[in-house]
Amino acid sequence: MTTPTEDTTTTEQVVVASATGDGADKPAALLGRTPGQIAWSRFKRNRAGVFCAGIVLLYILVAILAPVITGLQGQSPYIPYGTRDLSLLDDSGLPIGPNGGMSAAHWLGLTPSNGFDVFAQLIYGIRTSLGIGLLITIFSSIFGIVIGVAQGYLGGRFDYLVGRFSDLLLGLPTQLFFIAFTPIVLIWFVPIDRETPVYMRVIAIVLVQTFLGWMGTARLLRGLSLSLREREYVEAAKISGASSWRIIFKELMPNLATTILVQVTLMLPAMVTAEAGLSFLGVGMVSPTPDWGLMFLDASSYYRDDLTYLMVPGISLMIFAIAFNLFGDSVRDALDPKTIR
Amino acid sequence: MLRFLIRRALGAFVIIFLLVALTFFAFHSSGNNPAQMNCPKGCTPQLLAQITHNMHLDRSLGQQFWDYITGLFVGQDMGTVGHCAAPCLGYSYAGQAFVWDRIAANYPATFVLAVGGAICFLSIGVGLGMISAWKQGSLLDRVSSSISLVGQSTQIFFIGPLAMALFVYNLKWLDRPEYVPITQDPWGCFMGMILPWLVMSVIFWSNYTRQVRSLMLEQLSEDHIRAARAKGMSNRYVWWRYALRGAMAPIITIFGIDLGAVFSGAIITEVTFSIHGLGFLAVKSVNQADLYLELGVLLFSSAAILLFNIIVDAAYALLDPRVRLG
Repeated sequence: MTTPTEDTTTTEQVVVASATGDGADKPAALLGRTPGQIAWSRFKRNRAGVFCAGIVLLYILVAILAPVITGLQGQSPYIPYGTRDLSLLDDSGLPIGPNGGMSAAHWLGLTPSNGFDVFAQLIYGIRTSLGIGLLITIFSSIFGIVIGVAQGYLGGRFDYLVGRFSDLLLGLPTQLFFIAFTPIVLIWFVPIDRETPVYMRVIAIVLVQTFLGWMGTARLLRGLSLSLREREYVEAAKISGASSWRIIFKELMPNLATTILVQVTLMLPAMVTAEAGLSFLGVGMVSPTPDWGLMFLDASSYYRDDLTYLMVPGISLMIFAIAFNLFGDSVRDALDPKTIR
Repeated sequence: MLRFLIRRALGAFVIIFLLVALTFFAFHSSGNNPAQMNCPKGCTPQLLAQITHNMHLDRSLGQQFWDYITGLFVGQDMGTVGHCAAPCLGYSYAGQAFVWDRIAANYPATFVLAVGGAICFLSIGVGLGMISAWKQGSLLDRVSSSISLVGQSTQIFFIGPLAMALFVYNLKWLDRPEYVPITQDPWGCFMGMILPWLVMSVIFWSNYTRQVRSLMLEQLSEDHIRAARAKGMSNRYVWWRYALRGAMAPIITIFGIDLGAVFSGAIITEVTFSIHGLGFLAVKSVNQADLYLELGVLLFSSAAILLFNIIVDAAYALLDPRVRLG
């Protein structure tokens, strides 16, 4: 929305300099700015965007520093405090005390029935969900970039075949596919009679979600590189004998970078919530691994008596999603002022 | 048009076939004995052998696949279980019923949820978008944009229980949501589904609000609108007949995609409100490791999505004369 003012900043300097050039022998120096610098200055001016970037950073820090934070608090997400100290829960397994048992020791209360520390669970849950979401985003983006650029650059039969294949995948019911295939992939790795290690679950979730996560990016980049391929500078590079690798990495990629960055920032929150959704449905992470989605699953059976337990993951996930969506929008505005929202 | 429909239908058949192949072999590659998994507690060797025979597990994998494919068109005999009629998707041991019958029993709930939810998110989303475009820059516009941002960022498994806590248990305006067959008690069905409809629509409508707002603003600045105004047409007429019509085409595309999504089973909504629809069935089948039920639900949902894609493309061509089907 701030588009019209952007480009005047540099030109204004020149105009002012020449207008005030009353005998001064040198006009104000023309500042050359890289596209990155321009985008950064544009981003800085969007206050809501900067605020949201702060929140996003905060969540990432929380995820990285989870052990430190819970260490400072002095609680662990794996200890069922309620079964150790019977004074914390009442007879029906609900936490005693205001707002789901909030106290100096348990900042956001305790979970019903087992009495896990909600704050510690949340912090570690953010770590799990954000980590898995990030992995899925990274792998989906890599696949999407490689396949999309290859499709656009190579064209022909390869483009056609891969295009039809991604059409096939786009026609699948995504969520159903996730819940049907995650257990199958798990069985591929781990025999059914043996306990599934946590990292195997992570691998299975990442694999399945990546399998259906790359098509959007690939389509976008295919279209872009298809049009970029016909530009003069690519032609010039080709004529001067540049290899395909060089053309892809030195000519095409820099022009695709902004699109990729925007795509990634918009994909991450979607993937985090998708992971939470899988866990909520019981096919993602399982207890005792702390997870955002699992908290919802657990809380949804107690919300009548203990609403706080539902609100904690709910509000935090909502703030995360809003902040990330706004952040993604402002990144897009900063990098590509032409897009009209 | 007919040519287009036939071609798309053939394409859909190919996709369904590939999908069946992909899922069938993936599901059977797990290395576990499906008969063992489907054998109820207190499994005797005789029963196991019988199940193995009924499920055709004593045949080769290729033969099983062929049976499955032909079963879709002509049905198949499944030993002691009996004959499985034409769209045969196999037998669900966990539920002691044919997969097709289980899907048919659960689908009405999904259908009603999808229709009501779609009406809700389309009317609310487009309505809010129109208001935003009409009062552009006003407080109303900003409020509706914020609402749609929050809606876009929220999750059904959060606002669902929250809405239930508020409207069902606290204010006691509604009963606990449940699906009552619409043929039995239309009013009860409406009252039972209103909360799931509204909650489900929240995550969809924000997209419409944003799109309708920007499309309407774009349309209103077009030359033909100005010309119509200059001719002396009433504002309302221009607004409804010119601008909205022009803005509708992209909306229909999104609507078609979303329809496919809701008709193939809104899993999280169904699980949150324990509505026994297709999505609920899918989750149950996964938890019970009921292979054929999983496969059947997946196929059925994919077919629903494909069908909607075709309908949407055809509707698109009917509504927008610039689009040529080819």
